[in-house]
Amino acid sequence: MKSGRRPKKHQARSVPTPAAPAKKRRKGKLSGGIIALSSAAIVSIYALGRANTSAGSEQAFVDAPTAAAPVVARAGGATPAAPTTATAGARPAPGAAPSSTQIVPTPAASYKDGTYAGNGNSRHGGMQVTVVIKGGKIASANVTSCGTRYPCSDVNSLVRAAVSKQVVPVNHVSGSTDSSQAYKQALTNALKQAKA
Amino acid sequence: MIQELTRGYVQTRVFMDTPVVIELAAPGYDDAELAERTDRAFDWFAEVERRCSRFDEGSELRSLSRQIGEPLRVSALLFSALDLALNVAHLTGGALDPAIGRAMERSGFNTNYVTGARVTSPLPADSPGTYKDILLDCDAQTVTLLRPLALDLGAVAKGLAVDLAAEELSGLPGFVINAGGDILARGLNPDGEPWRIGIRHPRRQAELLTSLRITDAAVCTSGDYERPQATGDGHHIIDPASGSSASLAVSVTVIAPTAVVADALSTAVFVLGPAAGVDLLDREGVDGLIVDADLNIVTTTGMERYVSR
Repeated sequence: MKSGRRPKKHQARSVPTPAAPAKKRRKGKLSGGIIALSSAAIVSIYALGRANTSAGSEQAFVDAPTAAAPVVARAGGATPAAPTTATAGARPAPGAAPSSTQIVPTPAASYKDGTYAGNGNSRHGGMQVTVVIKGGKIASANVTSCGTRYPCSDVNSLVRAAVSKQVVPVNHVSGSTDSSQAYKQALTNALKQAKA
Repeated sequence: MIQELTRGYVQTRVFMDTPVVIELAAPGYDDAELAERTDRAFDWFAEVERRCSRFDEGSELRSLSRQIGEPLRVSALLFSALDLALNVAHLTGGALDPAIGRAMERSGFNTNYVTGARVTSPLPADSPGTYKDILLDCDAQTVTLLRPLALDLGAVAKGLAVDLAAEELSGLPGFVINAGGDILARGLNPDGEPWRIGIRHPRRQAELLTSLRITDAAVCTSGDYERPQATGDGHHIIDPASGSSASLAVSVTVIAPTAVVADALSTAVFVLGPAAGVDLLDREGVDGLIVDADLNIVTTTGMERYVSR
């Protein structure tokens, strides 16, 4: 009781950390506690829905839940609300320096309305992104074709593999997360054409 | 002979710096309805990204990272993501650690893929916090950080988004959500069979290790081959114990009922390596396939039933 460290430790224990339930469940049988925990979480988050989002900083994302969402906010000339609003209520750590989020300049000028296609490449192949500009803003930016990339890249390479190695063709491929490099390039190229 | 294998209703968008493909096998359904449900499914990726991104100053996760020493009430989504990550952290002695953000930044994984902005967490150099510095209060739904931390939910966020997106598609005869190689498959494929899911060969790009028949399960793979560090020969899966790239495995695939579990365990097992990794998968009652540094394959005993013949 007298030791200086003790209350701290005690306090830490009194908070129900996830360790305890995990251990309890682990004693059970094959279906691990973590699976039950995840299933319950999914159901309850889904039941709550996505609507509990009102902060201004989040608006940009709510408006355009497409891949181009964050771009929409900036390209449309919207204030980069995220950093400012979010920090307002929060207490920065001692010595905290706000990290820059605006290093890459994003065009404040609006785009010409229309539909533009751009192509990009990664080490897996190419992809086409079609950008639709409405009212000077990006309305959507979806992948419209993929030369040899997802999902086609997999299909093509898999079919090659299947043919050469007599492996069964597959619907999808699980692998280490690839980056969106090709998409970014295609989007940039499409937006170049849309410059007013 | 080129065979088009994704013949359902297919949409691709980019979230979390990776292409997300949704394929629906729903013959007889109206395209407009499928489009609407697909939109709603994709919305969950935006939602999870908005709350859990380490790369966005405005994310709820980053706001939480700035609150030290006092409980902060967070959204159910962020709370659950942290809860799941912490559970796996405790189960594995920290092989997966949601406080790994700082090491990730230092390894060069510090750029917002949309804006190109660099993120640098303002942490004192002598403050190497771990998951033990994160306390959750389930009743109050609050999180307390005992010291400044750079939180990272990279090992659970994508899986959780896949699971939530799947809820929007439930009831359809068959669908796959493929988030850059993290896959959840439900029902049957357009041929009326279990979905055929290949596992990428970690060293030969155009080849598969094997292919699986999957229905109502998630398949996630952690590998060392897709996201190299900018300098040196490391990759994106950092061993929290050493602060450098984990090297006991080169590819780990986990099959689990939920994508978030498959996602988290594939990362944890990647760090643990084949021996401890298979033990963990057995204890948690899930299956998996591990490729070690010499390209030897180790699997759980239940893996056999998924392999296509």
